[in-house]
Amino acid sequence: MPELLQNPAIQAGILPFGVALLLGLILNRLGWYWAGLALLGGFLATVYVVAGFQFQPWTSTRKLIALGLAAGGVGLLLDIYPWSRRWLPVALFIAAGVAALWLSWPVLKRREGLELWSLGVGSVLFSGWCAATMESLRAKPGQASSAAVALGFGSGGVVLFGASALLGELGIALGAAAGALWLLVAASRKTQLGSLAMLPAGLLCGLIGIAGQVYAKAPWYSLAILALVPVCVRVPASSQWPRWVQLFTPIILASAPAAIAVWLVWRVAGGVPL
Amino acid sequence: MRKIISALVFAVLPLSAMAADSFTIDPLHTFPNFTISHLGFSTMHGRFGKTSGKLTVDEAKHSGSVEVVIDAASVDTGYIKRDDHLRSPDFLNAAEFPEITYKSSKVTIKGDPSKGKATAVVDGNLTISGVTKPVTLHVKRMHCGINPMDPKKEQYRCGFDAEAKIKRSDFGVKFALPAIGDEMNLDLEVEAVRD
Repeated sequence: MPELLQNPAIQAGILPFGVALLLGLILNRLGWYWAGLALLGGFLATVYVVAGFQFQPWTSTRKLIALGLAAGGVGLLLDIYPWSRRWLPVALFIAAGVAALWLSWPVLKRREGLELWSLGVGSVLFSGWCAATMESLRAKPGQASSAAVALGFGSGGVVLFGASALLGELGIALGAAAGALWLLVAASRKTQLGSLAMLPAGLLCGLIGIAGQVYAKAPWYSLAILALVPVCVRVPASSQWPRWVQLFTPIILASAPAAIAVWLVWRVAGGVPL
Repeated sequence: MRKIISALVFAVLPLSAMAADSFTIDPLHTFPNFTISHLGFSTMHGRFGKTSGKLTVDEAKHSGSVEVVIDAASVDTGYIKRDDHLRSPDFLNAAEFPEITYKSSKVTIKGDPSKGKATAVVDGNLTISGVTKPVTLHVKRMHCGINPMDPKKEQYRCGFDAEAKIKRSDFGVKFALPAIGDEMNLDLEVEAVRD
């Protein structure tokens, strides 16, 4: 592997951003939600250089990647078929919760009593919340891309300082890929993201946070603060405001809880794992 | 008839006395150690602080068995942040795979362990992070005898130093390659007390 690709800033920042931007520019011409493939493409580019695509044995990291791919497939189906979305948030919450339990099962099965319940319920709540609330932003590309940037960098930063550079890089890669989508949204009002982008973004960020808590040392309160990202981004921006204000307001609002969560973990941890 | 039975008993007794002895690993005197290249600048040393397991030694047949269980979370490199990183999914993934195990398939002892001049070759399987690969341990020095520190002079123990080389990538531990080395030297200091 070229030396350049061994640099974490390239692996988790420039590479996923570049791949997502390129894919987005190509696919955006289709004028449909296929731009969401750009997010997954950027994420998978980082997966390739830091983890690879082996799926045996079933480690937590490999489960996370597989679940992200599955979420993309589900998101695509949701975009293609005009199913009723009345019960969708509940269904996504439950599905994401089950995914989180599957991811954290090797640790859950060795816990008992209050520790088991708090870890299990917390995993379901955070993962389900992220998946459902992020997917519900699908039709608002400005808010959606802003939330994905903030939640990606936030979950990645929290887990990075929580002792797992690998999981941290995957989260940061999501943020970087979402940054490319944010640029595309800023460049053209016609850019749409859809469930194809937002469901994997929400689920992966949720699962990265959970994996960071269960398998590394990310503290639970950092995830509680990160859960505010999809809420803060929904502060409405007036259509009377200048375009650049409309674009930057959601990303600044969404980044606030993410920055606070990362700062808190950095204060406790003192630095990245080396 | 009695003479035949007596003869048979006296013939069998020495054989039973020479059957394999089983030992329980002494966790206070058993430490798996490892070394690995750190960015090409220096060799990092680390060890695991909690080990358990069983040995058998058959001095008559020059064979035996080894079964060792290492607590992955007990890794210690002298710097807690690095140890936390080693326990994370980046390396050992200790929360998901709490045990590193070694189980022998064949042990060949050369020399007499009771005289402290024995060596051995141990073929077996090492399992790290859910991946099992064959690894051969080369026992440099093996000694079995009464523990001189035992006031009753009853405790019989066996001990040995063994070494092996592995590649962590063989076990799926690929993070930060090649900056953090792939090849690892394993040095095991093992002592076990006869049951």
